[in-house]
Amino acid sequence: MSKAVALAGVRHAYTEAGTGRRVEALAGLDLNVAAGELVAIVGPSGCGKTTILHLVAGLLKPDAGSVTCGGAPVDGIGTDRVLVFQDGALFPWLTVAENVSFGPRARGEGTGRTAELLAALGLDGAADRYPKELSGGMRQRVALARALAVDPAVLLLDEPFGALDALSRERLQDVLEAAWLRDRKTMLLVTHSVEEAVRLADRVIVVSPRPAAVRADVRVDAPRPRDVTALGEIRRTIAQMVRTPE
Amino acid sequence: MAVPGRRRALSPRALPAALGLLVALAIWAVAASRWPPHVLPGPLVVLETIVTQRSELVGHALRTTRRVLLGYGAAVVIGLPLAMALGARPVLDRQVGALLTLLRSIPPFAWTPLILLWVGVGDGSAAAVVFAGAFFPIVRNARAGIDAVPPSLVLAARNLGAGPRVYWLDVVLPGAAPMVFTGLRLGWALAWMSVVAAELVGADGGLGQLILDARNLARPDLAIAGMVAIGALAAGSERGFALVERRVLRWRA
Repeated sequence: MSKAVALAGVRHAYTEAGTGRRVEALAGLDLNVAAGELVAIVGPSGCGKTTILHLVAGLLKPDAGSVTCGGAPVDGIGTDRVLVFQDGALFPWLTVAENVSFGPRARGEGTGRTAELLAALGLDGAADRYPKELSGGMRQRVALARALAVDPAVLLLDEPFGALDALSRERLQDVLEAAWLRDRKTMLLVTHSVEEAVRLADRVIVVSPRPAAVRADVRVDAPRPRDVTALGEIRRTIAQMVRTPE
Repeated sequence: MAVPGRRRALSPRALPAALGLLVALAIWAVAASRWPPHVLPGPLVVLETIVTQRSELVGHALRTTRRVLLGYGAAVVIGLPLAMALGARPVLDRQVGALLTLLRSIPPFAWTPLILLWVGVGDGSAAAVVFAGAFFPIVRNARAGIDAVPPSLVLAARNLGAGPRVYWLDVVLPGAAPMVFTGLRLGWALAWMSVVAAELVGADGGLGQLILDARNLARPDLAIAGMVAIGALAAGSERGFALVERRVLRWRA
C-alpha cells in the first residue's frame, strides 16, 4: 500500500515560553500511514501528539528527519493536508453553508460539494445559521464538512471532539466514521480517549511522554460499526500503556 | 431574531428616557423663571427661536454637516487602508506606529490655529480639523481589530486555500469589523466636537459660528438653539450608526 504520510527520524524541539528552556517534543519519531487508513494517536497529555499533527500540517518544520505526504516532502501549509481544531475555528461571520464552501470559494471553484456535505453530515437544516447559534456538536460537524469540502489527501484531526459532552461525542464519532467509510480519506486522529481511538481507528499508535516516540502500534481488526464494550481487552492494554511510564 | 419595525422604537425603555428628558426640561424651565431671559431663556423661548429662525438654523446645520462629512469621509478613506497596510507590514507598523502615537496625543483642537494659517477660513479648514479629530481613533481601532482576529481563524483560512485577496476581504476585514466600528463611532463623535471647535475659532457660517455670533449679539436663546441643533444632529446620526452596525454585525447576536 502507498504511504500517504511518512515521518522518519523526526526530531523537534521548541523553546518553552517563560523559562526559555529548550524542550524536546519529538526525539526521532517514525510513523507511516497508508493511503485511506484511519490512524489514531494516543498518549498522555503534553506528550507531543499535537506536534506530530502540526508537523504534517506544515505549521512546524522538523529539526531533523523527514516528513512526507504522498511521497513529497511537506513544505508549509497546504490544502492537501487540512487540520480540524478542537474548537472548530469556524468563521463566526459566515453561515454554516458559507463556512463549508469557504475552501472551494477561496479557490474560485464555486460552492463545490457543499450541498452534498451538508446533507451527509446532518446539517441541511442549519445551512443559514451562524456558528453562535449552534451547539458544540453541530459546530464540529461544520468544521468536519468544511475540511472535507477542499477534498484533502489527509485529514488531520486534533482532539476534534474533546470539548463535547459524551452523547454528542458518540454521535460525532459515528458521523466521522461514516464520512471515512464513504470517501476512505487518510485520517490522522489525535485523541486522549482510548475508547475513541479503539472505536474509530484501523491502527492505534501509542506515544510515550515527551520526547514522544512510538511505544506501540496496535492494529484494531474488529468489523465496523464497532461495539466498544466488545473491545475491552485491547482498550485495557492500550490504556495501561498510556498510563504507566516506561 | 429582532422583530423589524418601528413599534420596537417605542418599547418600554423609551418611557423612562422620555421621563428623564421631561424632568430636565422642567428644571430648566424653573431655573429660567428665576433669571432674566437675556441670561437664561426658558425652553419655550428657545423653541420659539428655533421655529422663527428655522431657515437660518437649517442653513448653518447644512454647512456644518458638509464639513463633518468632508473631514470624516477623508479620515475613513485614508484611515482604513492605512490601518490595513500597517497590519500587513510589520516594518511599516513600527516605522509609522510611534509617529501615530505621538500625533494622536495632540487634541484635534490644537491643530486649529495652524490649519487656519495654512488653509484659511472656510469649509476646507473646518474639514481639516474634523479630519484631525476623526482620523486617529479610526486608524487605531481598525489596527487593533486586525490583531484581534483569532490566530486559529487565520490558520484555518490559509489551510483552506485562501489567497491574499480572500484572506484580507473575507477573513481580516470581517474579523476586525467590530473594532473598526468602534473606531468609526468614536471618530464620528470626535468629528462633531472638532467641527464646532473649528467654527468657533473662525469659519464662514456653521452652527459653531452661529453660537459665537449669538453671544456677540447677546442672544442666549439663539446660542441654545444652535447647541440643540448640534446635539440633535450628532445624537441622531449616532443612532443611525448603531442600526447599521447591528445589521452588519448580526452574526455576533
